[in-house]
Amino acid sequence: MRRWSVAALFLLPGSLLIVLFFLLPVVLTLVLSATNLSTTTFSHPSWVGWGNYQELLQARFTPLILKNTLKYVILTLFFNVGMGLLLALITAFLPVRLGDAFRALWLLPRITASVVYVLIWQGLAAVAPYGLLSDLTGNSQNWIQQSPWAVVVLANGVIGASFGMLLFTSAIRAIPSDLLHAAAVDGATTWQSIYRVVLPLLRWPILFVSAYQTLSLLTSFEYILLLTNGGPGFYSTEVWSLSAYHQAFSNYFGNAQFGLGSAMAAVLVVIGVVVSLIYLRVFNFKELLGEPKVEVN
Amino acid sequence: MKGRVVLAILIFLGLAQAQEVITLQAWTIGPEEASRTRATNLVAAAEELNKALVAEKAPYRVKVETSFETTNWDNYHRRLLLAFQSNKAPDIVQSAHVDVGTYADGGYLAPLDNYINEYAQFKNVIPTLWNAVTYKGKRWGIPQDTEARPLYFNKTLLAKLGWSQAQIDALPQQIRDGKFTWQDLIKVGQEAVQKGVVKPGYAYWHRPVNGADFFEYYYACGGSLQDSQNGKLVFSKAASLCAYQLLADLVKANLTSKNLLGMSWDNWHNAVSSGEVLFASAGTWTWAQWATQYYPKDHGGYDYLWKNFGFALQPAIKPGGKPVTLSQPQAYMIWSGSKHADLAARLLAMVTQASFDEKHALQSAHLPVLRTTYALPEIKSNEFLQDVAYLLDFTTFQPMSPGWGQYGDSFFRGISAVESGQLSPQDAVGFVAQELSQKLKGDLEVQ
Amino acid sequence: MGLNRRVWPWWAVLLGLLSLPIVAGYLWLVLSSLSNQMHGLLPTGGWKLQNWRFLWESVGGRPSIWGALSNTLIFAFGVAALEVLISAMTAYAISRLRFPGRGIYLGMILVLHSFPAVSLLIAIFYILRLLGLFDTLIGVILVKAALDIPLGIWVLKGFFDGLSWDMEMAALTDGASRWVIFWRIALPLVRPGLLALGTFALLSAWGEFILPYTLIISNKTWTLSLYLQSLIGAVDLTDYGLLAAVGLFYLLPVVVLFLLGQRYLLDIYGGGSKG
Repeated sequence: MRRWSVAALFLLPGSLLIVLFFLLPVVLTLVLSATNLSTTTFSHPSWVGWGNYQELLQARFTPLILKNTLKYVILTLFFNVGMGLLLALITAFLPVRLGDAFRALWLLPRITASVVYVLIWQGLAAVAPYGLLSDLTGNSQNWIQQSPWAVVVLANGVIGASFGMLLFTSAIRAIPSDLLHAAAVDGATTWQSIYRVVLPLLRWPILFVSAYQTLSLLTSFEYILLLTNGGPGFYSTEVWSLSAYHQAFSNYFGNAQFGLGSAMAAVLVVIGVVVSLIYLRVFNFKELLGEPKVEVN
Repeated sequence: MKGRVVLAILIFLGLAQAQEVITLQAWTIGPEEASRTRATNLVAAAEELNKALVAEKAPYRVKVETSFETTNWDNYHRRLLLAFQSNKAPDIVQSAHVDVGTYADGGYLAPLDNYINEYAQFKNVIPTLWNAVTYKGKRWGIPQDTEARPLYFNKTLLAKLGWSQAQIDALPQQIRDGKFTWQDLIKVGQEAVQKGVVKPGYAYWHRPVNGADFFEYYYACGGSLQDSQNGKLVFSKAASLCAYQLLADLVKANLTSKNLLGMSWDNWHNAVSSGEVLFASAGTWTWAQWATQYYPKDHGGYDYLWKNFGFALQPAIKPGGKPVTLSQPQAYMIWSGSKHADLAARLLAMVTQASFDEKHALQSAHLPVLRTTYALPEIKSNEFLQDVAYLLDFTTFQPMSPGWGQYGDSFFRGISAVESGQLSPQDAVGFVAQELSQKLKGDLEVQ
Repeated sequence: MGLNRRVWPWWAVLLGLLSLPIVAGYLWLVLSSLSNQMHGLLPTGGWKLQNWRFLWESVGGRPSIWGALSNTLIFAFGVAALEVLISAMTAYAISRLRFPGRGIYLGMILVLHSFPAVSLLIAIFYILRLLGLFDTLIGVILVKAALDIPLGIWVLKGFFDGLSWDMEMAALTDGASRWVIFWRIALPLVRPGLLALGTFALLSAWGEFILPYTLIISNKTWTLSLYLQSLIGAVDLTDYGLLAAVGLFYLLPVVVLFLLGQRYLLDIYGGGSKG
């Protein structure tokens, strides 16, 4: 019993924060999603049951936003994983210091504050004279507005590629050199060694990175908010999570829909929990758990 | 001894009280820089109020802490809403008059009728502006400024098209008389594109983001936004179709770029004010913005504008139809949770003076709210303010209703879908009608 | 790796080309912040110190950048301290102690680690409002720390698991309390882990945008990200020189910290942060 109270002491602060800012919000999101809470009904909300969800099902913009979300997740994921793989493979060929320098360079966007990172994109994509793209092509236009999807995918992709890059790099380093030597002795070309030896060994890391990033892309909207804010025009780059944010927090005429926004968020919450549980299954939770080292006496 | 101590304490308390400073928070928004007087006027008015307080030997002084938002309305509304909901709102809020419906319904605003009767300054406010802040029989705001939204035309470009000076000068009157309509504008615009006077998509521009301007088309098409009998919002399918069709035609005829919505304001202003665009719908305040912030700033300021730009009403749809403009007066409101509502009201009475009204009008090219301001020599001799004054005879307003936010957003989404070619005007009308009846249910009449 | 070494210069060239946009981007930021006018990447019109005027004067009535800087410092260090301390305590308990529900607890941490925390923003606003912490720095610090704690626990649990058990065992038999052991023995031994997590937390909090953007409404509590965003979003401001200078000012400490902490960091970024 006393032992447990020691554990309780250690767990208290962390648990408190987790309850306050994870568990309670999850419950609250579900509760709010069943109300008509908005700017005008804030002091007297009423229950609407499944009303918000019904509205989402019927709303004409729902299919468009779903399509955008799929497009965003799939395209960015391909870029992230593909680029991450490419970077990991190429830097593995280079002298160690050069490889490290390149990896650090690709990590830079990720540690750059999102606002600064987006400022750089805006600068490069601006109209002449500041915009580099306008300058190089001689076609002065705002490139973010002209090709919003390319920018959204690339901007997020450059950030995301570093994740795969680092993970794949450590996986490549873990490959026993005998395997590669053996392949070289057999007369395999570089390409053949990669194809036959390295890639098969990277299967799990690739699966892990894809799984992990699918979930975080599904719910991330910060860079889209800053780059295009879902535009230009009619929901051009509006994805589900951004739309939830917009419903609840952003309205030109000032009437925010907390209830509807919560319903959209709740969909993500449910997807998030279910998918995470599946991942735990796939990536073998039991093994991670292990036995604690407790006092024997 | 004891008596002295008591006396000392009393004096100290007295002094401390004399020095008590009551801080009033005030949030204001331009977002354009030129309208910063919305904040600075409050600070200046507080100085005057303090002089009055000194004269009255009042035991307190007032201090105003202002913030002035320069980004956008979405951001401002979000901050306001969260502030209202978490009891952290400022004492004084400046916002568009149309927000009164939403905010009063939410219980965030204090009704101001008692104060308005108390202070004489308020008697000078132009009566129609009180209508703009009246909701459910009460007045919730003090008019801060008003404006009109003209159609600007580039005189230099028209001359390049072969227009004579007389023709150019006559254009505002032609529009006013309903003789130069949207159909004529499209013809001129097409010609300008064909002759290479402007790039394709640069013949007519409206604002690049959501806003009140878009209801000018709806009003020109004969639509009404509110049932004056029961206060319900009205969605006229015919007027919406006509407005959406007009915008679709503008894009199809290459007058308007299909990517216009989403462009940043600075690109927009620089392109229009540097003479890349033939016609543009904007506001009177845009005049001051251009002169002080954008391309004209380094090219002669107001002189450059007078040389290159003219302004008129938004044209009628058909010959003989009614040209329109739209006004969205700004108002100072008082938060219902303010601990110093009386003082805030007194400050607002102080700021509602011709001198402040004048300063704001001259700097920001908004229109004054006081009858007394119009009598001032500086206003009388200000050519721009005098020339746009007639626009008010044709003005329209947005309706006050808690559902207005959703209405405005849906209507705008319909426009963005039409312009980007994602929906036909007919489909867009159906889309908006469906969305609105779903959201507003009984509070909406679809005609 | 024992692959063909002769071809590497070609690979380096290819990688260099791929990385060119990133280099160009940061180069643009630096050059723009210093020069009067830019044509793409070519500075024209000479140097312009005025871009840095935000250091000594208020820009358009905004509060001073130094206030925003100190808010950001408080925010970043507050988050890092809280995150490291709390993660370490929790991770230690999971790694070392037996308690009912341990498996569920660890499972929950893992789920939360990959959980879409930003989608809870609406509800988090209500919680903060309830606690009276909305629009305060301490409120956002708590939220940010809480959202990153599952990752922290996960990383530090790995470090504790890898520690040899002997010293703690000896101390335990000597009658030392768990608390003392944690502070005196375990924590010093996982120093690399604490440093890595601390650096990560600092960087992540330093750049945080969406939480303060949503949960802070008065400009007295502005962090640098809000300061910069207020300049970027301003309708009447086209001064890229100023924007770039503020951006660079905001970026520099991060680059320094990154170079210092790089050694520790690479593991964490690869080990599964959000992305």
